[in-house]
Amino acid sequence: MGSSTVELGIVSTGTAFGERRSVAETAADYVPDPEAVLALGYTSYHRAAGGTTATRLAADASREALEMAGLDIGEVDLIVLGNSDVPEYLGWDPSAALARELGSRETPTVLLAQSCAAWSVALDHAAGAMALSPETGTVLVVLVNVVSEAHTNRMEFNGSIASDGAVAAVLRRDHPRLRRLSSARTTNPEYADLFRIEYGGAAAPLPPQGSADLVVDPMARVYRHFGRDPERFQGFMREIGDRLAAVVGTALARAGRERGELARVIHLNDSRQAIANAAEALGIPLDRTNARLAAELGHMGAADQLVCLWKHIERGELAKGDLVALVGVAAPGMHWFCTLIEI
Amino acid sequence: MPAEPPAATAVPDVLDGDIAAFVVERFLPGVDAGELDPDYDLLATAVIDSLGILHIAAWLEQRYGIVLPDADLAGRNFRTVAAIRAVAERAARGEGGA
Repeated sequence: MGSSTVELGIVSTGTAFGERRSVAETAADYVPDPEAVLALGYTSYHRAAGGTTATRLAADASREALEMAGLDIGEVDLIVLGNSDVPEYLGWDPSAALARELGSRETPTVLLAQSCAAWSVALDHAAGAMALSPETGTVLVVLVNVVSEAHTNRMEFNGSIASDGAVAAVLRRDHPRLRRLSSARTTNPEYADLFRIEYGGAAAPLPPQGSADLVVDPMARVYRHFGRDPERFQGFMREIGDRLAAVVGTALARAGRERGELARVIHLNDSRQAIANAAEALGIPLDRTNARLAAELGHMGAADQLVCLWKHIERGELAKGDLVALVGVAAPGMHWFCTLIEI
Repeated sequence: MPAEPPAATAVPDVLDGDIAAFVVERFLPGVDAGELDPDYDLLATAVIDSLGILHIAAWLEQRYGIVLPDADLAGRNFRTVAAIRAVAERAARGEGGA
């Protein structure tokens, strides 16, 4: 956290997505009211074909990033994996499974499971590892999201449409492009239980008879948390924007930059309205966010911000020297994050 | 002694016009409640959002004494005036949350 004590930048990026699907054509497969889902503003999302695991997508993205960087896995000093949905197995380390898939023999791995927040923690972890160890010069950061449809309805996912994808980035010490300048984050633990998956963990390994994770819309639990009081809920909505603005302000101060210098804000791939709310809280126009990309991609959990960063570069929407704020709100947590990148 | 039959529970009449008046007053200022079609899509037009759902649920409780079950607090039940009336009537009959 805080301003970098080491200089590092992104050398290359790789992505791997599930099959692209139209929201209009498939929403009715998930919910009885597809019009409500369409109102979220998404046009498409990605769904991994049957049998395609998060580990497979993460490995595909990693291979592409390594190839673009001209690196062999043996030249990577650390692998950091953020996995934002339910892993393939409980009591299992997807980061080690990814390393095995990539043919690594001894590269240390780290697993980050803070849901949609994992991207920021992963970048911070890479910076920290480089600061702590001069031998750590190259880090492979991988973020993956493959929705477990047995646990979650991807069309009723915290007001967004959940999507399957992975992004991998090769980070190198002293790399002069796509430099990580600073970060900031805050957590409000009052909301630790919001959006949790109810069954399958140690507290409730199995759902009671007649119930299941998919039976109740997660938003109903959110309403219950606030006593179904519109004023309390409205305060929560306000807090989302206020805390986002606060972490962006802190990250900018740590980097010695101003909000007016931001060329683009890349938010998690939330609904059209949620991104508009974030833009308003940050005082930037919607067309300088990732709103359009979010509508095409769907919410890829922890992969959103780095996927969109790369897509904006590919489309020529970011130029050398541009200042970009990668931001997000993550639940459970809840956490608010900002990482500043200079292109 | 034979058990007495349970007393009939009064199910309040939930009126489209009443709902339309509240929706207009709260979310569509300047619009005449009489002009709001009971089938006008309030979600697709972003008149109602997640906060709006809670406001309407609270109003149904205050106005009619109808408490919607948690499971009914879903967008589909608030998409139109007619949908709001239907979910309220189901809850009033004790058939909500299905």
